[in-house]
Amino acid sequence: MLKSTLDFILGHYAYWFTFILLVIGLYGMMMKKNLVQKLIGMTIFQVSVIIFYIAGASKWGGTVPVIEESLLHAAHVQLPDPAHYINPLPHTLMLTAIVVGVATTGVAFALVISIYKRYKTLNEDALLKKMREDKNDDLTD
Amino acid sequence: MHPEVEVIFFIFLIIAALISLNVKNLLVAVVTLTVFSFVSALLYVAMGAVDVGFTEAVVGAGVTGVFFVVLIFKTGRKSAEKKPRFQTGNYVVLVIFCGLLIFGSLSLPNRGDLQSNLNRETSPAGTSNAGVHYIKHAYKDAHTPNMVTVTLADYRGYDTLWETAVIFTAALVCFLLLRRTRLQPMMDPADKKEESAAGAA
Repeated sequence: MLKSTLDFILGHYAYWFTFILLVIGLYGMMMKKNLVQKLIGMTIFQVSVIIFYIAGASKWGGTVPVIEESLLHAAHVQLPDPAHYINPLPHTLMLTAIVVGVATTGVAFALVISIYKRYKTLNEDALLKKMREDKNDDLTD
Repeated sequence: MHPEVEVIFFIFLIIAALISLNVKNLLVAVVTLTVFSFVSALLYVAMGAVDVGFTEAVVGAGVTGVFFVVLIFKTGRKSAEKKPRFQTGNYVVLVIFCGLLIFGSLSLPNRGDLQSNLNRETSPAGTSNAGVHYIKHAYKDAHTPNMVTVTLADYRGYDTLWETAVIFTAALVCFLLLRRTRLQPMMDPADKKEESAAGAA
């Protein structure tokens, strides 16, 4: 009983830490008023999603998914044992996710710079107020 | 898996995330975010994902940090936050969200369990499991020792191809947004009134 509980905690603690990070990122996006701080929260959120996948890929007794040089000749004849290597598929997906994430963050930066050019502020409350005035101006003009 | 190392990195990550969100000076926040990214790269390596660790150290810690610094120098450096009101509703939503996630994780299989669906030879549908297939056949098919490279460039080549399309689109959007823009700074209402009065006169 105790052993299975310990195994359960050992097999899940990484997920729980990841969820705490996820909630910290969400906290940044929800409660901070500055747009740059919201973006920082988004980056934290992104990293924690990636950690979730990487944590799920690991195996007890598995090593890095690279075949050692001395085993290369054997790999032709006898296929490598999947129990000895970590699952490479989530790693590949997360490589793609990191690079795409940086590209989309770049788009967010461009948007923030255009907002700042127009309204000279990045505070959410001030920004909403100014945008409302701006819209009214457009309607009256 | 090395739980003792991972726990230390996780604690560092949480501390860095909280500091970078709560500091007033945005430049300090960005530097702390870079520290966060770098510790997360260390965590990936500790979990055995060396390629992801390299990418995060170069792209996440390096490029994102530089982009953030450029953004801050183009805008303002202080977050200029007035004393934040304590928003109970939002905290309740966050706690409920965290609780739901943890509740969902209770039915996940143990990490690193060789008998779980992720690591078994055959998937529940009876087909060959993708990850296991890649481990077995990567060297035979592509003559490259690194399985992540083979998966990225050979088995999932189309993924990577269309990823470049996404990056191209993002670059195009950035270019179009930051081009010599028609956006003029918005005038203060007081200035505007004077101007229209002058125009009328």
